[in-house]
Formats: sequence, C-alpha cells, structure tokens
Amino acid sequence: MSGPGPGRGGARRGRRGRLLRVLWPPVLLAAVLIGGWQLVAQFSIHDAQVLPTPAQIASAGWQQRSALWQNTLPTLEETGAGFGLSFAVSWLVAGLMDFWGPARRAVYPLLVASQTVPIIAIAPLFVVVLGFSLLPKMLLVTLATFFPLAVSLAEGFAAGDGDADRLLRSMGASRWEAFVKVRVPGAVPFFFTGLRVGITYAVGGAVFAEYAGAYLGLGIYMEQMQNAFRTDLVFASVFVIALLSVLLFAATYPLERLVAPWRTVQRAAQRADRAV
Amino acid sequence: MTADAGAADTGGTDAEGADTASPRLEISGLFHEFGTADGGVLRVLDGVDLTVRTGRFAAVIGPSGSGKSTLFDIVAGLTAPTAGSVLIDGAAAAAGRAAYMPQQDLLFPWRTVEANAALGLEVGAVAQRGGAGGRGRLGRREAVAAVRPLLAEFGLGGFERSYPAQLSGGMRQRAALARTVAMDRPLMLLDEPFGALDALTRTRMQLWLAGMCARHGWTILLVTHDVREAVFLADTVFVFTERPARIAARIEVDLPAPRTAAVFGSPGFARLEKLVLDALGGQPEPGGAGPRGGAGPDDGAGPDNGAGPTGSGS
Repeated sequence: MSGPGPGRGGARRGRRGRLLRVLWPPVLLAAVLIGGWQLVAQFSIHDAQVLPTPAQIASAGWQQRSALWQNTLPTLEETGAGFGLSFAVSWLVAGLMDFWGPARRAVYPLLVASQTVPIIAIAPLFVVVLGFSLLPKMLLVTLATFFPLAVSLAEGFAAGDGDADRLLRSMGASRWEAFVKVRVPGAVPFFFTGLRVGITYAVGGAVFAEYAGAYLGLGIYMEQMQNAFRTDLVFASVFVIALLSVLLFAATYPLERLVAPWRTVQRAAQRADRAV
Repeated sequence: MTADAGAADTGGTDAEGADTASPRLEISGLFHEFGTADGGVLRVLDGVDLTVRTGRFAAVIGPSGSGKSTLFDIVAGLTAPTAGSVLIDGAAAAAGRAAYMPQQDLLFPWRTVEANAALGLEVGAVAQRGGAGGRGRLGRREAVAAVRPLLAEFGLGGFERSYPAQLSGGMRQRAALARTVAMDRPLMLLDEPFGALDALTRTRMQLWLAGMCARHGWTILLVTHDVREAVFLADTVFVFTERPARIAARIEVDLPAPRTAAVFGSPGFARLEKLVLDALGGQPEPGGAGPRGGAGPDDGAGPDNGAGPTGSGS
C-alpha cells in the first residue's frame, strides 16, 4: 500500500524496464526467424519469384517506397473511417442493448451471425453494389471490427449491475445517471480489450476490400505485384500491413493511459499487493 | 415498540425518559415474502416493528440470512415490502431518502477519493431529497468542493486526489462513509460497514465512528453480525430471530455517553453483551426447528455464516 507521494519516478523507471523486458523476446525470435528465412531462400530455393530473401524484400521495398507509401495512405484512410464508424455504431448498439432488454435479445444473435459472414465472399458484393468508392471498404472494416467492440462494451455496461446499481438507485439516481456515472466508466477497461481485438482485424479488412476492387491501396497493389511476379513487393506490402496493425495495436496502450489514468494506478497497486 | 417479546429492559426506562426526540424511522408491521424458484413462497420478514429516534444509533443483529439485508433494501427504497409501512420523518421510504452504505466499500476505481465522496451529490432529483439539506443535483466541481471539508475531518486530508486503489482498507471504509455522510440524508443505513476489515482496523474504526456520532448526532441504523460492535456503538440493539425474522429482543444500551476504548472493559458492557448473546442464543437451532431451511435470496454471506445464532462474529 503506497501513498500518492513516493515511488512516482521509480514507477516510470520501472515502466521503461518492463518495456525492455517485454520487447526483447519477440525481437529475438523475429531475428531468428528472419535469419532462417534468409538462409532457406538464399541457399535452398534460389528463386526470388517463389521466395525472395528478406534482404531482397527490404531493398525492393526501399526502392519502391514512394509507390508503397502512395498505396498505404488510402488503406489507412479506409481503416480510419471504417474503424471510426465501427466505434460509433458499437457504442450506439451496446447502449441500446443496455437500456432496452428486447434490443439486447434481438441484436445479440445478429451480432454473432454478422461475425460468421466470410469477408472474402462478401467483399466483391459490396464493390458490385457500392462501387469503387471509400464506402464499401469502410463498411467492410466496420463489419470486421464491430463485433468485439460491441460485445466488450455490452459486457462492460453489464458489469455495473448488482451492488453498484443498488447503491446508485439508493441515492435516487436515474437510469441515465447510473449509466453515465457508473456503467460507462466501468466499461472502459472492457472496451479497450475489445478495441485491441478489433483493431488487429481493421487493416486486414481494408486490404480485403481493396482486393475486391480499388484504384489505389495496399490490397490492389499486392494483387498487381502478384500478377507482375514481383513476389518481393508482395512481401514488402505484407510487411507494411503487419507494421500498421502492430502500431495501431500498440497505440491503444498510451490511449488507455490517457483515457483511464486510474487503470495505471490500479495495476501498480495490484503489483505492489502481490509483491508484499 | 410492540415486538420486544421478553426483551430485557436494561435501564431502558432511563433512556426512554430522557429521550423526547421525534421518531425518524418508524417501521411497523413489516412483512416481506419472496417467490422461490420452485413456485413456493419464502417469508423473510414476519411482522417487524422498529423505531429509531432522531439522533439515535440503532443496531440490528441476527443470524445469517435472517432478513437484515432485505430490511435494508426496503428502508432504502429499493424493494417494496409485501405488507407494512416504513416511514422516514413521517413520509414513506423511497429511493434517495436514506443514505445507504453497502457491505463492500464500493468505491469506484476511476474516481478519486473526493469524486467518490461527492457521487451522492451529483445524482438524484431535487424532489427525492429529504432532510435539511434539500440541495439539488450539483455539478462535479461544486460537489467536490462541498465534500472537501468532510474528507479532512475523516482523516483523508492529503488523499483527496488519490484513487481508491492507493488507500488502505480502513481509509477506503472512511471514504465510503464520507460518501454516505455527504449525502446529508435524514437517516444513514450501514450494512456491516467494517465486516471486511481485519480485527485491529475494525476496532479502530468502531472507536472512530463512535466519536464521530457523538459529535454529529447522526441517525443511524446499523446491521451487523458482531455483538461487540452492536453493543459498543448503538443506543438500542434489535435482535432478530431466525428467518422469518421477528424482533426477539430490544435492548437499550445504557453505557456512558462518550464511548471510548474503556467501555469495552466495563462491567456494563459485558452484561449487555451477554444479554444480546442470550437473546440470540435463546432461539431454535437453524435448520432443525426453523420453519424453512436452505439458502434464501437474502445475503447470508456474513463472516459467521453457518456458525449458528451464538456466534459473536468478532
């Protein structure tokens, strides 16, 4: 149990140390895998059209960096717009489900069903119906990411049931007041869990949508490079997609610290309790 | 006061005579039944009469699952009773009339200590507010400003901006009590407020609460499993029977006014403790002669769960 005063600087130093401890195993593993890949591609396959070496991928990607960048921007735009829509709709739907039992019973099965729709199958349909514009890509990203967001939010709201709800009602709080004061802030940790799951699907969803039809974007670029037998640039695009997804995922942590500073405090206190 | 069947009046006349204050809480003929899963009916409260006068401290003690928590739900306006009346300052109990402190501290981890204490001032309509305060709903800033002096008095000065996770168990309970007091309602309902604390902290909190009550003249209804806690803090102890609950005894506590640590060792304290224990112990064994066994919808989750009616809980 620590007061608010001591240990602030220590906590910051500790965080940097933890970051290092968290980072070195995956970095080491990735280095080993890339090294193995280099050896296999260089000494066993000898065909850059089948499997280019990581070094070839890096140099091709660097040469084509402006084309890659040009195609990354629309993908990012689609991801952002789609995820923004996903965010808005998930709050709306989860809120509706929380306030209105029939909505919960009606919407939940449909939410689950929406997740079983294969995006590969539905992406061309969206393009046929909605054209080559931003809209079909945005909707596909929303479809791919909406479920984990809405479900985690609905569960987070429901965590305010029981004793917390009794306390608020005993204070004379209205249903709306209880929602705003307790259910929404209580749902924040749940929301970030769903956000981390959803955001890993977001870039992939946009790429799938572009695959089905687009003028620019990493999805259509990959398809063009594949047709031109530039396997190295296909891999370079894959690398950019993976990097984007990891960056978006990682960005949720500072975002959570910003939105819910109390979580940091709570985790630190829990660690201290365990240490005692 | 009708149901004190064979209750010991231990100098009760003395206290009654001096007490001319009006009744703040009047519970009369209170019955409550739950429908059970198998279609039966479970009677939890079986004609409870109970009065708490303004500025008095009353404790309800009884076996686990005897309906104490149901009683609180009804007084807090969360549950409508099957029959009977509950009046707070002459008006029917409703949500927002009494300040309720639940068993767990239930401080919200995303609110600082001061924001937690201010919560009760930020919610609820003006019309639901009883008591002298009669304030409307406040904004966060005004509400926090209103509770700040209280926090200093509750020994939480310097921790206003801390999060609950940074507080010790005793401090969390004081913060939860500050939230209850800050609501400024005519009646406070404390549901085993110190049950989760270790014995040493609990005793400290009891001493502290006794001092605060003496200073502020709060009207409190306390539910507890702890005989010593009930006798030490209360002016009147109501002993509940096994479910369905009736009042087995009403015991007036005539201990001297400043309740300090010395009280625990006084002969009067031991005598009263024995009276309460006898009232609890003079009941049929649970399960055997009880009208209905099994777990009810009542809490039944006290520390001496299943320990039988003689457990003192401390």
